[in-house]
Amino acid sequence: MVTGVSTTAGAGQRTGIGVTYASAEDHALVTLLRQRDERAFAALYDRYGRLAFAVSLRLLRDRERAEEVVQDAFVKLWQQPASYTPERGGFRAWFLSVVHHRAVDALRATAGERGRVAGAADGELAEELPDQGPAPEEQVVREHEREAVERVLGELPSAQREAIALAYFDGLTQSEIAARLGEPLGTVKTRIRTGMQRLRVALAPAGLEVGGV
Amino acid sequence: MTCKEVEELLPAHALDALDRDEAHTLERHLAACRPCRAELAAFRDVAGHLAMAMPPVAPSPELRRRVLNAAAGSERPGLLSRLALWWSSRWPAVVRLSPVMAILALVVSLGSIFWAATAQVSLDRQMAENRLLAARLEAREQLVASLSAPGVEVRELRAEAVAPGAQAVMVINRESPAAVLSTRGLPQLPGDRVYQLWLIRDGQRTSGGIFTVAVDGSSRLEISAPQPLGVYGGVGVTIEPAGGSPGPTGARVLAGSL
Repeated sequence: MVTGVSTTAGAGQRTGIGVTYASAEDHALVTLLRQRDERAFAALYDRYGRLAFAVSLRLLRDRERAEEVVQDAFVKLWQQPASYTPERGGFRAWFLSVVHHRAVDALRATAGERGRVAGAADGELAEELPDQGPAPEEQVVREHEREAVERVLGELPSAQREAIALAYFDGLTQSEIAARLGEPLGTVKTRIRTGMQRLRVALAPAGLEVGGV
Repeated sequence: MTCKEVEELLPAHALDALDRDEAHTLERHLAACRPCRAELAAFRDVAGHLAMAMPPVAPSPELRRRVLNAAAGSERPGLLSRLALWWSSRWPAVVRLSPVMAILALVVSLGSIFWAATAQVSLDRQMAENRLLAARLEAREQLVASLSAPGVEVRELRAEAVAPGAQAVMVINRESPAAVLSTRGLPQLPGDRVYQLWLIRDGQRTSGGIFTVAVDGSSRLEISAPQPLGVYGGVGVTIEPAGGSPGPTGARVLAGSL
């Protein structure tokens, strides 16, 4: 039953339609995924595995648990590729939101027993080897995106930026953020809402795909 | 919850920052409200970009192996190449190029092109579909090569009451474990359902693979059976949960004997 066909999406391997798996666009890979193309799956892993792991690790601060979350998200993607539809926005954003959601779930599931690792030093992550990325040209694009996102984030009022960062990077709920900052819940809600709306507007002209704008 | 109330919560929901009860109530609204889902997708895009602010971190190489192993074994890609190889190793070139088989192959090609041409796809899906069709075309070229051999048989499958308009044929060779199922007129399934082909031998049903249908209702499944097709008495297609089932559980839509 098992074919022994390599699932490695090397730069030289082609989809059979003149483009390499490594250079195929996300939506093409997702289409191939629905056709049960293992190499398309491997290409998506190589493209987003590191990013997904960064999100998961940042939230869970535990390599093993972070890898479990990433593994579950990818396996679910393989088993149910139809769970992603273009209606849900870009594939990358959707998939990272799936990973984020799972990591936050894992975090909250154990928050009671372990206690939250509040404000662990950012330096911890710097000890991890930053990955070289899947393809040089993609690294350039990602570097450009990172700069754009950092610039747009930097333009937010600091209170809004802080509230969004505590939610996204530390996995706190709005109520937990309010408690952490000693601010009224309503204030935190307004900061997050206003900040996200600003980001949505600001990211679009920065050349970054934001659905609905 | 009104759309207006929901809109207020969507930015926080995209960050997974709502309390559990609030998120629950919101999800119920989203399940029934397309405009709010679109709005959430936009804020998810924003959240997705926040991830870009983080330097990527390499997980262990072991993770890649575990993830890809989950996919391996449940699939049989590259079937047509192996079928072609199997034939070319088995028959001399002069037999492979039998004119009758060449005509049959041409008919299959023309039929395929006709099906592709009638595909009605939304502009949104057009690019992905184009790539898919190109990939299919290449697969068909390989199929043409594999069909250029004696012993190839075509079996028509019977449509059951669930899908009265469906038509399906299987191209098989009794000595080969490789075969192709082509259908049209099968209904589209919801995202959590797939069609699954079963090969029947002495009452035992072995999965021959899962498939979904294109927008125009056509589909093609490359089958790589555990045994040459000659050992199986019949085939059936049922509707199963996404990912397929170990044995048939859903309604039967197609059936036929081999």
